[in-house]
Amino acid sequence: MHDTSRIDDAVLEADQLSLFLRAGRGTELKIVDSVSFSIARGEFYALVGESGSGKTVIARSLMRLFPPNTLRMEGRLVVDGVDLTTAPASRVQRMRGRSISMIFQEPMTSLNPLMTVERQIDEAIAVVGGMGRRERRERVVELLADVQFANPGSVRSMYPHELSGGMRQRAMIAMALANNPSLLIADEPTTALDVTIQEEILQLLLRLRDQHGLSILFISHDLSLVRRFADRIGVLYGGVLMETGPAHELIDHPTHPYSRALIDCIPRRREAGKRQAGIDGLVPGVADWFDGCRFAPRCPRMAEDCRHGRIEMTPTQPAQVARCLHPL
Amino acid sequence: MPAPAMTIPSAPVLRAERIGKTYQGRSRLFAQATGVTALTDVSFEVGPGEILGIVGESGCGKSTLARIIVGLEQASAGRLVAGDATLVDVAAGIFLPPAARRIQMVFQDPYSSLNPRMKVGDVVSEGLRIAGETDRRLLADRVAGMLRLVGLPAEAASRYPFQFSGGQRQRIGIARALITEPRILIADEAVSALDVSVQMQILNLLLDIRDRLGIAVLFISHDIGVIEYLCDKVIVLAQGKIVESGSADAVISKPSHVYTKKLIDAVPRIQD
Amino acid sequence: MQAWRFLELKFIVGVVCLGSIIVLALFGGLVAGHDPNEQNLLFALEPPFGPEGGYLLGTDHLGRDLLARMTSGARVSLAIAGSVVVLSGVVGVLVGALSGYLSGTRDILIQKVVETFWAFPPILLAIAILAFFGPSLTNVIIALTIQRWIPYCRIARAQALMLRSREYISAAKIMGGGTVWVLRHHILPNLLASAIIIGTFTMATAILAESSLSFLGLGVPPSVPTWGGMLAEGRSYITRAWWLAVLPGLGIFLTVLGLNLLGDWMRDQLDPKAALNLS
Repeated sequence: MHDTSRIDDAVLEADQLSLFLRAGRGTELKIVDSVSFSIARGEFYALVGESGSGKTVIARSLMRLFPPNTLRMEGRLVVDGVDLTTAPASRVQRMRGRSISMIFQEPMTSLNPLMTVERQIDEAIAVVGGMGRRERRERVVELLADVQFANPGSVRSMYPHELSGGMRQRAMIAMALANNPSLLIADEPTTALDVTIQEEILQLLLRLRDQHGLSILFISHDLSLVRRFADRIGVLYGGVLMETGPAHELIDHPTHPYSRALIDCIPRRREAGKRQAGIDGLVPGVADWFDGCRFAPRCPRMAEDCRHGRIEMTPTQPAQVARCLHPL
Repeated sequence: MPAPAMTIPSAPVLRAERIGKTYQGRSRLFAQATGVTALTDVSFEVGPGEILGIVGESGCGKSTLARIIVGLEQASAGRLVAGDATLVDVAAGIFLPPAARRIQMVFQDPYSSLNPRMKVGDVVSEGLRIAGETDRRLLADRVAGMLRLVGLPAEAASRYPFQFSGGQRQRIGIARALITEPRILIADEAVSALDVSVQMQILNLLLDIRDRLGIAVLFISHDIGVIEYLCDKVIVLAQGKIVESGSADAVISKPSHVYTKKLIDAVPRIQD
Repeated sequence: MQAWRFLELKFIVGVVCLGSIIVLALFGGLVAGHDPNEQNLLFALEPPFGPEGGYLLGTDHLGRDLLARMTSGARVSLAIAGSVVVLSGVVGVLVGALSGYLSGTRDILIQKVVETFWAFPPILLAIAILAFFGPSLTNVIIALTIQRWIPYCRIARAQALMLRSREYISAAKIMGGGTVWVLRHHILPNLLASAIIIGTFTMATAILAESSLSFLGLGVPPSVPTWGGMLAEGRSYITRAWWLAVLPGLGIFLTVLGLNLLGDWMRDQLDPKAALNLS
C-alpha cells in the first residue's frame, strides 16, 4: 500500500503483514492487521506501543518463536531476501542467528545458568560451524570486547549469576552477534534494567550499528527513550500501525491523534493545581476488535466516518504517514 | 491543590529518625557471621497531605524502607514516629504491629497483588473484616464507597480480579488500602507496570485522593518523570543512604549530588 | 486438536469405568436378591449367567451370590478409600500449608517428621499397624492414611512457599491478618485444585492397598466381603472357576483405571502446573 518509507536497501520489509493466532477448536484471532514497514541497512527502527498492541508478536514472528501451527501469517515479511511467510521451517531455522538475532527483556531466562559465558557464546558460533576451536576462542574474546566488557579475559569464565543485569544483557548481545546477523531484534532489552545501565546498553547498540552496519528492530513502550535513540518509529495500537516517521519529527510533531495522546501521557513537571490528561477508556482486546479506526472510541477528533470501513495509511508530513482520516 | 509543603510548619505525619537495617548473615562453621547493610541513617519527614518521592535504583534500599515503615520488616536502628504515636523505637524495643500503625500500601504488580480467588468486594473489604467487622450491609456500603472513590462502578464488587485490566486492578488495590482509613499511603512502584496511558490515570487518582482525604503519600519509584509530576518533596537513596533531599523541583532541576545528576541525565526526556 | 480429543477420551473412559462401579455399589444389591453371606451349597461354583438359581454373576465355592458379594466389596472399597482420601487430604494440606507459610526453622522441623513417615515402605507400615491393633474398619483407614497425607503435604508446602511472597499476602499482613487468617483466606483456597487432583490418585492407591491388605487377611473382618478377600479365596479355584478371581480383579482394575484417568483429566483441565512432579 502507500508506504513512503520504502527503501531499496531494506534488510526487513513487512508488507500488509497480518498475523493470526490459532486459539484451538478451529478459531483464529487476528492479532496484527496489515502492518507495513521496512528497515534499511544500519537503521535503528523502533516499534512502540502499549500492551496488546502486537509489537512483541511481530518481533517473535520474525524468529518464528511460536509452537508449530499456532501462528498463521498473511502478506509478506521479507528479511535478507527471504519471505518468512512462505519459507519452509528449515530455511527459517538456518536464518536464526545468521540473518536475524534477538535479545530479550530478561537476559537471565535466555542464558543457561550452568554454562560459562564463553561456552554459551562458543556454542552459538559452533552451531554455524566452519571455525576451529582456536579461531572460535579468539572470536569469543573479540565479541566480548565488542560489547565493551573492560576485561573480556575474566568475564569469559564467569557464570550468568556472577554478572550484573547490565553485564548479562551485554553477554546476550555478544551471543546474538556471534554470527554477524544483519538484523537484531531487541524486545524491551532495557526495561528490567536501571536507568543508568539502560543508557549504556543503548549507546552500545548504537555503536554496534555504526561499526557493523547492523539493523536494529527495537521494541519498546517508552517514547522518550525511543526519540533519543531511534532513527525511525512505528506506532502500533490494537495490532494496527497508526503512524510511522523519523523519530524526532514524529514525536515532536505527531500527526495521528493516538501518537499525540501517547506523548501527552508522559509525565513531566506539573504546574500547581494542574493535571496532565491520560487517555480515557481501555485498549480494545484482541477478541473484540471492530471496524474503522481502533482508536476512535478514545479519540478526541473522532468523527462519524472513523467508525466504518478500512482506513489507509496516508502521507501527513514529508516523511510521515498516518492511518487517520482527520490527522493533526 | 498540592500542599506548599515547605512553608507550612505543621507537625509531620511521619518522622523517620536515623533508620538503619542490617541483615544478619548466617554464621558458618569456620566463618564469622557477616551482616549486609541495607539502610544507614535514613531520616525524613512527611507533612499532612504531602507526597514524598523516594527515588533510587534497584538495590538502593527503597523497598526495604517501605517494608520497615509498614511493619513487614524490623528496623535494626532508629525511630519512626507518626503524629504522637511511636511506631518503632529500636533502642526501646518498640515495634508496633502493622495494623496499629495505620499505614497502608499499594503494590507494584497489579496481578500478584490481588488474590485471584477472591471477589473484588472481598478484596476491598479485607482490612475491615480482619479488624472483626462482620456486618454485611456495612461492609458492602463501605466497599461501594471506596470503589466510587477510585473510579470504579459499584458492580465491580461482585466480579473477580481477572475481569479487570492492569489499571483497574491498581484502582482496586488503592481501594483496599484506603478502606481502613490510614494516615499514610505507601505506593511501591505502583505505576511502573502500567501502560503510559493508564499510568497517568492512576497518578491523577493519587493526586485526587490526596486532595480529598488529605492523606500523606510515600511514592517509591525509579522513574524521575513520574516523581517530578507527582511529588512535593524527594529523597534520593543510593546504597542505603540518602544522598540528596529537598523539594521535587529543586532536586530534579538542580541536582547537587553526583549520583542524582547521573540518574537524572540518564532519563531521556521530551522537551516541550 | 489431537490433544483435545485425547483429553475428552480420558474423561469419557474414566467416567464409564468409575461410574459402573458406583452403579454396582448403589444398585447391585437390588438386582442380586441374595444376602452376600447367604450360603447355598447346592448351587456352589455356578458360572456367571448360569442356568440355575438365578445368579447373574454366578456363585463361589460356598454357593454365595457373587453379585451381592461384588456389591459389598465395591461399597467397602469406596468407603474406605473415600475416608482415607478425605482424612489424609485434610491433614496433609493443613500441615503442608502451615509448614510452607511459616517457613524457616518450623518448616525444617515439620519436614523432618514428614521424611520419617516417608522412610517406611508403605504396605509394611500398614501391615505392622494392623497386626498390632487388630483388623477393623477404623484401623484399616488409619493404617492407610498414615502415609497418604504426605503427597498432599509436600505439594501444599511447595505451593504455600510460592504463595507466601505474593503481594496480596503482604497486604493482608499489613492490615493485621495473622497466620490463621492468611491460611484460611489466601493459602488454602489456592491449594484446593491440586488437593482434588492428588485426591483422585490417592484414592486409586488406597483401593489397591485396601485390597492387598484384605488379600493378606489383614483388612476388615472376614465377615465383610471385600474384593481383596474374594480374590484370595478365589485363587485356589482359578483353574475350575475363573470368575471367582477375575470378577473382583476386574472391580479393582476398573476403579483404579477410572480414578487415574479422571485424575489425569482433571490435572490437565484445572491447573496444568499444580501437581507437576511433586508427588
